[in-house]
Amino acid sequence: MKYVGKKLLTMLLTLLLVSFLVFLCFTVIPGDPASARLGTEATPEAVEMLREEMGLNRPFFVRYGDWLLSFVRGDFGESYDYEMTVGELLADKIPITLTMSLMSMLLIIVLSIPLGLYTARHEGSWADRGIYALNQVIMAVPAFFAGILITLFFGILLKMFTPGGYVSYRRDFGGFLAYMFFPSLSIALPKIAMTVKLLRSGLISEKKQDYARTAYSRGNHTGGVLYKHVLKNAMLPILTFLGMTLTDMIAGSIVVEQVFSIPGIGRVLLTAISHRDYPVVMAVIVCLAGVVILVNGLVDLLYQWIDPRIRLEAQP
Amino acid sequence: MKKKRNFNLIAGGILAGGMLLFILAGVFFLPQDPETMNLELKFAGMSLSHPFGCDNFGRDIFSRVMVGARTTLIVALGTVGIGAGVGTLIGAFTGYFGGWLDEVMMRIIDALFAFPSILLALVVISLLDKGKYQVILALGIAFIPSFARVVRGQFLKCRELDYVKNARIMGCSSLRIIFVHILPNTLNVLVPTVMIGFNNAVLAEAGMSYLGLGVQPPDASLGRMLSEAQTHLFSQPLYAIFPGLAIILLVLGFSLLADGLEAK
Amino acid sequence: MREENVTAAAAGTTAGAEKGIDRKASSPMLQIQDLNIEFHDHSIPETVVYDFDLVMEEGDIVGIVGESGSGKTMSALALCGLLSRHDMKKTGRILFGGKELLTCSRAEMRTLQGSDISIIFQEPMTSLNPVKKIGWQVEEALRIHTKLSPEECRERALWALGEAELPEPEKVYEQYPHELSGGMRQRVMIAAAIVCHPKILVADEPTTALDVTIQAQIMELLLKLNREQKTAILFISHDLSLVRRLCRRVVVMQNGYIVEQGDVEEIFRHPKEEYTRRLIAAIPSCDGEKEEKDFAGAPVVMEAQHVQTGYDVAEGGLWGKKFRKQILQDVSFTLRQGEVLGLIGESGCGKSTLAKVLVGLKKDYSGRIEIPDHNVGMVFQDPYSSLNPSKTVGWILEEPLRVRGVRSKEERRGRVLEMLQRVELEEDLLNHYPGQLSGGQRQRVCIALALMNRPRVLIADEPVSALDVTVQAQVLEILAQLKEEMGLAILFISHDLRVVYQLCDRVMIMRRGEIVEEGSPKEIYFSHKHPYTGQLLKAAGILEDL
Repeated sequence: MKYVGKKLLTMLLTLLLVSFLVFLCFTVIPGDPASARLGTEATPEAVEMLREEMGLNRPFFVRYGDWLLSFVRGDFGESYDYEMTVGELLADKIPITLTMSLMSMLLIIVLSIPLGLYTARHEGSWADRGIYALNQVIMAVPAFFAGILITLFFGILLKMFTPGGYVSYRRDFGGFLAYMFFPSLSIALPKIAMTVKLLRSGLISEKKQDYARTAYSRGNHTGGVLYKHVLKNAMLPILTFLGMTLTDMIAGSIVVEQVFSIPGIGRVLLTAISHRDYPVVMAVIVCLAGVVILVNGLVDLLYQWIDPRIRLEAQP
Repeated sequence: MKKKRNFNLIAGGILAGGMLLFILAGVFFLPQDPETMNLELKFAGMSLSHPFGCDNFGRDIFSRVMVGARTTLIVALGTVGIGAGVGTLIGAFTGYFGGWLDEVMMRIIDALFAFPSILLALVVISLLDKGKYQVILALGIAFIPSFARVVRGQFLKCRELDYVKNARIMGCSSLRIIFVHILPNTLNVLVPTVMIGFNNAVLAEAGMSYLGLGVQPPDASLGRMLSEAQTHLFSQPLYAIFPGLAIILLVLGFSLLADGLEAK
Repeated sequence: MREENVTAAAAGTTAGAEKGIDRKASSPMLQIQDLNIEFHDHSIPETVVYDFDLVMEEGDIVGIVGESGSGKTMSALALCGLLSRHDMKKTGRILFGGKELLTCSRAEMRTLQGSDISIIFQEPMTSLNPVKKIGWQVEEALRIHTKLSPEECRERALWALGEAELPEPEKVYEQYPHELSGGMRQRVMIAAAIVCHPKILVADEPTTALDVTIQAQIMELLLKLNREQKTAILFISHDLSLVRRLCRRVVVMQNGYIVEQGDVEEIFRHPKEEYTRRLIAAIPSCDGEKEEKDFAGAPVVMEAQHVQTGYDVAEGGLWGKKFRKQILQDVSFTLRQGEVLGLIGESGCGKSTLAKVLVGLKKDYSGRIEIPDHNVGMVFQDPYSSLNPSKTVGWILEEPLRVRGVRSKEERRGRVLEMLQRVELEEDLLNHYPGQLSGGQRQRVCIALALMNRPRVLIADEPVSALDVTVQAQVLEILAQLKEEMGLAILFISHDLRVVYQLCDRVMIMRRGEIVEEGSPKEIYFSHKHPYTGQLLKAAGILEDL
């Protein structure tokens, strides 16, 4: 329990550090948002008035504290571009990106664990070599190119879905899920390849450990050694990897949303970046970082729940 | 086992070497001018003079892939240079000296690591503006944490080894120990990491350019070509296939090389 | 059940000759004939065991002795069916209870593994699964080989843990491996190995990784199992004196060949082969006459007074509270020119920490350390990590001179060559990398490196523990020579009482950061005062020797 508390504290501090860095970057580097908003022809007086109105003349840390407080309260500020608050803008998009990420995660787990086990068990067989080669190729395919190929093959040639025909989840949830399958697949593909490779090499190296030899010496067959002894040890690094993958996929969705014309968080972020809509950019980045930190924290907790060695360190 | 290792190294060497040769050849000789438009040749198929066909403006895809791959290579090299250079320095010093400096640096690195590199690069781009050099800087910064982590781990391991203790006993300075005694021993891990980093840089650059945040026209870039090709996927699939293939071959070559070296 | 298996095995073998094996009641429990083992994972097949023969009856204790690379472990793994069928080619015969182990199917082999044939390994730290409870691991053989209910399994496992003399079996049953010490883990390994009442227990260097006192306890335990359970034991070791204490018969191996086998005492008294004689001669003994030298008049080259130190231990990572764990409590000694001072202690007693403090690797200590010419050389235990793997021997040996500002290349080369001669190494080693050298050669390079700056004091932290006995004797010989030639004073840190007796002029016994006894070797070995010293002497078998 003490460990959980410490972990939460560390996560909170990391998030605080991230928010501070983001605030620092976006207030110091881009120059004066007031003059940016009014354009080059504004009089100095007008700029000064707007600065006062936007609260830009207060000390840096006061502004940071203010921003942080309203952020915690769920007030992310107002978009420069759209006539709505950032909160409203994002609330609509989050379910889309989240669905895509979770769907890819599901694909990764369902496909890569059996494949990893199979290849490790039949190390050196033709199937293993074939999967190894395929893995190498798939890992070299950028997610958006996978998306383009999938559009070409499943969309244009096989007509299994309409390219660009996004269905809103509010209108038709089933249709929405069906449309999200191929984008999720294109995000998941390279990650599946990496997970299979990592799991396979982890299993094989654990299989060579002394304890695996002990397991054989008690009369276990290969399957028994693999499933009862080796798998749990080999899964530990995979867990960390999957945690990092989930965060990677959220980022990867930015590109894939573009390929499949999906109006998710990534689209919002891209538009905001090219229009210099800083409140939106800041909100999206801090939220994404929050998700990333949360997921990694959960993975750490899960890890220590599984690995007895860490549990001991946590309870002196 | 031994056979397979060699296979990785050889196949990787051939692929990566071939792609580098292809890019290098493009510096001295291009079959067609990549910028010349010829509407008569719009979406022309494969032919002797246009081996990969032509795009929506009738430009030669083969030449454009050559030039685009060059841009991608330059960006990736710059990125890895910044990331590996700065990351190695940070990792070496924090790993060797440890203490509060290490603690603080690692907190920051962890915070940065919490961002997927492309997201971090997007932040930098949104602050700096679009363009080739901005992308190099953005991705370079985004790649520092991963290199710093790897190098730090190696230094943590090495600094406890007896040969380092020997060097300290004979009175070597810390700088000498770091750069002369320990750094050469991290190369077997650092070189594959650099290659994998190079691959990630290629993929990230392609992604950024695809989003229109990377290399700007008139410079050709593989990611940008793919984004243009996507709109014409129906009428000219070749336009998408070849730039994509160039990325895949480049990345595949280096990842096989890295695998081969790592197994050595 | 067993009869059926035998017929199945006999039917399964294609060669008719197999049937000719005498399956009389008088046939031995285990018979190994002409066992050859070949590696096939490289392009050139490499034979590691030639024509290995062994016969064991029920309740026998047989030792296999040999240095690294002698093939002793390979033979044992072949018996247990633990050699990969892919990479290794095995020919010959292993007959166990009338069954041919080399030709029977994997499934048949599995019915024996863990039930009739058990094995314990050298490294108790890594041989247990780190993420499974002890109870689960001890019960595993029962789950595989019997149809006992979970309750019965638990009962048997607790019995086995008790039999292996683990205190509080119920508590250990619920623990994980990392919560136990090395000695306890080896006991757990033994418990898991005997839970099915095996006919034969193969023990592959089971005590090498353990301290002497623990080592003695494990040996006692093995003897007891043999006596009470009638378990035959095949004991594999590099240590002849251990084998002599445990076994009735011994097989001596070298480079894959059996050199000699027979009754232990017979071989010890009248070794027939040259190699056996060398092995026996290389065991340092405590019965030689020692001349007592007086160093009182010699100048002091190192003096430590009331040295205390410890480590800051942080509990639970970044936010935990820190406390100081005391390692050295008040250590004082003087070392005079030409003297060899032995420091004996078990792992964790602080002897390596003392060495670190003395050479200046650890600076947070209290007390006074006086080294008049501030020049100390050090040799570490592990010759594999002491030399930078990415540099040549020549570069490594020149480094201390470069650091001291010797600019001239010729001068550096000259001094390196001179030192190389002193440690009896060939000149052409200079262009080799440490990875290309043998353990003994590396340790000699380490000694040369430590002496490059001509210190008057050398600190040697277990310099020969990682080496084979015959190599160990060579390195000790060189150390003794260097001491004479260069007038060196040596602080010799070791856990091996015999080696210390041979080499040292004065001995200190260390326990939990304190020096409990100090004196000449004769005083310490023949009329010790502290009970701990007696414990050590007894564990090492020295008290019985006398």
